Amino acid sequence: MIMRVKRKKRHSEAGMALCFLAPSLAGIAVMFLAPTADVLRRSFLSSMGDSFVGFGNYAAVLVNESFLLAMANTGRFLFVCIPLLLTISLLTALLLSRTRWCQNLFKTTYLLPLAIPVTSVVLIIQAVFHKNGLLSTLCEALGGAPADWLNSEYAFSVLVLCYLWKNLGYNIVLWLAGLSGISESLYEAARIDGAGPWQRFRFITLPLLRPTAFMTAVLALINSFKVFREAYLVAGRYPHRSIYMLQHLLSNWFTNLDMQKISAAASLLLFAILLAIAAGQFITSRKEESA
Amino acid sequence: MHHRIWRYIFRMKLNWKRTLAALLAPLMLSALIFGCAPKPSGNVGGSDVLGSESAKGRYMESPLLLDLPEGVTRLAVIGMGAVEGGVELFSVPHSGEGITEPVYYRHTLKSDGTQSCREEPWLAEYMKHGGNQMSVQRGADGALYGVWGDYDEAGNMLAHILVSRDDGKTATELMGDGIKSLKMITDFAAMQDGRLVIADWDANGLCVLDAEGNRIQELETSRLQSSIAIYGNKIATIAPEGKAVRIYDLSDGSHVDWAYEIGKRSTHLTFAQDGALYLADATGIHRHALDGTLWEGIVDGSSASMGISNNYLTSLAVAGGERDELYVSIYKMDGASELFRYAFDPEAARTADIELNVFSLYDNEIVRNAIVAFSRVRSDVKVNYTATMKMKGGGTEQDYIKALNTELLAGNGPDVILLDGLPADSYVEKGVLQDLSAIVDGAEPMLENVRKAYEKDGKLYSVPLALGVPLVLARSGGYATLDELAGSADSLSKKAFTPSALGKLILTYYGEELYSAGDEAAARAFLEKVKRIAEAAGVTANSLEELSIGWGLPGTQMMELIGEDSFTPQLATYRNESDAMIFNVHAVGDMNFAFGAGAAEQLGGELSGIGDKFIAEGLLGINKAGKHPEETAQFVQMLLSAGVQGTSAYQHGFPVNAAALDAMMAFENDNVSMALNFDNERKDFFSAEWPSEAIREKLKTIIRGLKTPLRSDSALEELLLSELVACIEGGETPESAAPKVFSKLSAYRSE
Repeated sequence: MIMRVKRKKRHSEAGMALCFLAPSLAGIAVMFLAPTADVLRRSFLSSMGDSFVGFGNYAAVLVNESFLLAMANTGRFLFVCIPLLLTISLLTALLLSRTRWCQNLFKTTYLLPLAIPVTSVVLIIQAVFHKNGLLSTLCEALGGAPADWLNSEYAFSVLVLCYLWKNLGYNIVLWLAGLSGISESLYEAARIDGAGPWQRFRFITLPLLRPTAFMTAVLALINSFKVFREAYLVAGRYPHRSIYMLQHLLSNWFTNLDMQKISAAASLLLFAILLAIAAGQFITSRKEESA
Repeated sequence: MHHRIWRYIFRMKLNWKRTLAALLAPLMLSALIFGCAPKPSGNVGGSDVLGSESAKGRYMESPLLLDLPEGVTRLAVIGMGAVEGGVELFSVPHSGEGITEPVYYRHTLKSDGTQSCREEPWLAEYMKHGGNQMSVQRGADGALYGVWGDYDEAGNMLAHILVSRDDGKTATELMGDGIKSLKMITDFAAMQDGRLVIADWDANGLCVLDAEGNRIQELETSRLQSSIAIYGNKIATIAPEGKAVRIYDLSDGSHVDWAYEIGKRSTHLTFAQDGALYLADATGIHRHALDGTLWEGIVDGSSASMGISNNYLTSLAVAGGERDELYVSIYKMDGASELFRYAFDPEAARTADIELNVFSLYDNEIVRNAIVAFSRVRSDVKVNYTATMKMKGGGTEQDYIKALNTELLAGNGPDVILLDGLPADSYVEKGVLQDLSAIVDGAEPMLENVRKAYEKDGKLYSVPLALGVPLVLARSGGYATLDELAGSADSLSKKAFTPSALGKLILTYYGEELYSAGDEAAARAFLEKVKRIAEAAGVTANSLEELSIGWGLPGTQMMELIGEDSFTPQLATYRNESDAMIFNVHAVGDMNFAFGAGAAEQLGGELSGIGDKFIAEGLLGINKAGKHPEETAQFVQMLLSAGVQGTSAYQHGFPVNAAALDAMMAFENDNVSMALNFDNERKDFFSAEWPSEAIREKLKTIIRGLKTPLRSDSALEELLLSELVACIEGGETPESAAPKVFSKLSAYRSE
């Protein structure tokens, strides 16, 4: 009797949960699942969707020089930017958490770039990094040669710098929130046990920041894709090849009505992301098993 | 007990909420489904309410042909106004080369279609030399007024006003003090008591004169345009800022503004018998009731003659009746007038049964002219033309291309697409465009060489609406290829090109060699030739400051005046320093062609094309997924017809219609005399007249020999121009620039 009541209650709770979830599930289905399915479908069709081409689009995309260049650049950007951002922001957050002096002022200062509109950011970038801009003038004044920073190999570094400048403050705030959640008593106990600053960081701070690190990394990854706006506005559809990103390529393909290539590339990206998630889960589960 | 009641009520409340939610759910679902459902096709508005039958009744345009007096072939209308049962208008013969003789006519047109014409000797007696700014109107006092302008002995402009109070039997010239200060009367009207309201080109406002011509008062008006209409004591004119029509009431000195955005082209006002004000401009004809607050659209300019770019409204008159009839006279570029009547047709569909959509990035006048012509033959079809870069949305080309592509991918999109600036080759490759062969076969004959230039595997996916022709005027050397240009570059002007202008010229006319470069070495070879040309033409990073011709202005300021068009400095130096000039022409009446032809005849040199290259102006394609193929075909044939293509000898590009091209080349305008100044004092100048028949024949031969359309790819040009300019300026050498150029080029091609 008690079992039946519990089961009934569970059913009713599940139904209620489903009711609450239904709007967002519908939204996801309409806004994400259906377009994904359509993209997958289109990846096997010609551009206008009037003939089946099998894996032809995938073959074309995989040998496309621009796609390979854009993939390599995007990968390089993520590989360089995300670790750099996480490290610098964590170190800054640690420094800020240890000092009470002007902490809020620093936090606000670091957050300011987030509040600046993209168009203004673009103007700042151009004023500083243009061939005849501030940096070139400074170089000349110091006896160096001016450079076209945005249209040379330096362009990649400029974009990385722009990304770090814009996102540092946000990540610092996230880290600070994570740090404030670690109980001071743990550090006190460690100090009593003779642990030094590095050991306390290594064995208390880092493990307890893992949930924060995951969220911060995901947000950093998402924000890294947004840097395209700056790259596009600064250097146009065809920037220097070192900052030619996937978004440039996809945007240009769409301009040329190459929907079949976009679909195939997007499907490949989706496959790569799913593969990365599966690999991550596999590694985590293996670690847990061995622990 | 209490608890039980509350629990019951609480449960009831809960049930009420559930009941309400259950009721709302289907409501929301139905709203979602029906709200997202497509609108019913066809007529929107009246048809939904009245059932399947569409609403009827609208103003229709019909051209009016005046009975020409014997020996007269064309007339220029110099005034028009309403009379009982119709309108009367005044005209003067016009030969196309100016007013031929000072003979004036009065035409009376009745609503029943009858018309009469008589000579007006009183006008000829005073306006003996034709004069300028002539206008004849009947005032509200019933008298006839004529105005004209001439010059005194010192060369000052003088305005004259003539009045005939006996319907043209006799006339006297008004000599009041108010008239002496007038320079050029741009519009006028007479009130019932004989007071005159005058807009003068030289005055800040409207002058009100008494019946003798003495100044009484001044009223504010716009300086940009002038138009006057009188109704009793009310005067309608354009408000000073050009944002409204202002109605002055002279009985109490008050005024009221009716908001209206006055356009740049001519605007005309006139009152109907019931006091309603009519306004005509390029956007159409609009009506405002005397005690109303809104403008009512009567005629849509986009499908009427007033909307054609080269047509300028000269008069508007309203004849009363059960429904007002509107008469409009239009000044054509050749100086003659055309007359149109707009009458309410109760049987005409108020909204079109079929809508065709035309898309382009940039505005195209040929399309606009075709829409007007098409609406005359197919009043049941409305053609909507969207030129996106002209819209006020502020989007970029890329935004609009992506929006178009989204529609095309969804299987929709416009019926007709002008492919300028769009990825035309990609559209052909993706099967977006329809084969035009059958449509072009059914149209009036187009230039065979142009048609062949666009045929691919026996199919024709696009055709240009008009042509731009790059020309070379040279005393020596060859210029057909980049190699030839590099060999003859010493002949070019040393003071005509900025690095950017030279880079653009080379990419536009000779860029194909670079676009097809297969390796870095080919790109380097191209850049070496560019460098050689730049050195020979004396183009460096400082060119801008060295360009000054004789205007006494620094190069930067001069370039602000003439832009990057190198034509003027090339012509200036062709007279005594250089031996070749390269320029682009779009029409016989194009200034570049007139001066280029003048230079060929006065200074010597051979006029030729750059090989057989041409520029497509308005590349036309049809969307295969269009919903109205029959009407689209008919519209495209209209676009290619001589009537539409031959609208103007002054702009738009050379017609691709063979007959229209012949007509354009045969057209002469002996009234044209122009001068291009090379200094501030206007002492150093070059003058030219209408190109001679021999030169026009030469150009026709060049056009009929054109075979190679120049690639129009702004993205690619923009991509490569900076490297080219760096190479020309000396910031890069051909060796250092070649890898960058080829890298960009291969990235572009590999996409």
